[in-house]
Amino acid sequence: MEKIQAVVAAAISPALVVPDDIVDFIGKPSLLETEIAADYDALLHRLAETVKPKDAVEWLWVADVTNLVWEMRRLRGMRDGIVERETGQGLGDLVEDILSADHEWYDLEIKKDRLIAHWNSGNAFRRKIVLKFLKTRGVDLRQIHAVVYRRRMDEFTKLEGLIANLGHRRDSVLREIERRRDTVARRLRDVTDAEFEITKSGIQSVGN
Amino acid sequence: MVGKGQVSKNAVKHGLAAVAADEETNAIAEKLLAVLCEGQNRSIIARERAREIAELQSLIVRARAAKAELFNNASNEPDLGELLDQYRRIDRYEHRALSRKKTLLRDIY
Repeated sequence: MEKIQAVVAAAISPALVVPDDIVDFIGKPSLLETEIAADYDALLHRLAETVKPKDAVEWLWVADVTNLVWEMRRLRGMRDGIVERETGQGLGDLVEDILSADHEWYDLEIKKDRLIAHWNSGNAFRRKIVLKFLKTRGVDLRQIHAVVYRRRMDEFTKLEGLIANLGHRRDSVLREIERRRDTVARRLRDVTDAEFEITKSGIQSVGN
Repeated sequence: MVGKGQVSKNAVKHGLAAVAADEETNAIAEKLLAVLCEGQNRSIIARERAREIAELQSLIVRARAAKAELFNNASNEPDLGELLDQYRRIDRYEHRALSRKKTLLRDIY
């Protein structure tokens, strides 16, 4: 649906296509094998529609913002992927803690393996059963995610650091666009004021 | 602790230390100058800045490609922590190039 919207948007506002003389300069996006070029283009288009670049410099900034946002998404996807992949194992660790007091080890192992298998099946109904069971023990998904975060703290710290840096850079570029527009507006105002002064003095001299 | 020697090796390893071929950079710089300074006075300073921006842009494009390559070439079960360390090292080059480009673009106008 998103792709269809992007195609429609591109078709109805061709002015927002990256100008030819800028395309060569910004280069092709560097994507992972799992990423889709059309999604990148759609993001570029959406950002261009929002910022409405007025000239080459602003197009360069929009291209940079697109890349920064794309990378943020990429890294967030990696972070979420870790959570998704490791939740089963985190669940196992947690179940071991909460059931070890009132279960024999073999009974515990069977129960734990069954719960992990249910979760890892990805089946919504089975996952619901797992969550229901955990609820009876006063545990919810957030606590499992906390276990995952603890297990993969190093990677999460690195990912969050990178995402934060990219966010700062994105904001800095956006501020640069605002700053530049302010400067251009101020210059235009100054020129207009000067023109007005010249016209006014011209009229006065004619009147005299 | 990573020393300066190691840092410079990282740049070479990822092809970020390589200066783009002169002719190519000049061609891009001229094109860029034409685009950025349309209808304006193209002084020698503006020309130099455009050239530097072109070089920086080339570095930025290479850094982005190197980052993607890291993951595209990774094994099926990569050491994510190590990959992210390398990602961060390349990212620093890109960050510096972006900052410098921002300053130069400010000056060109």
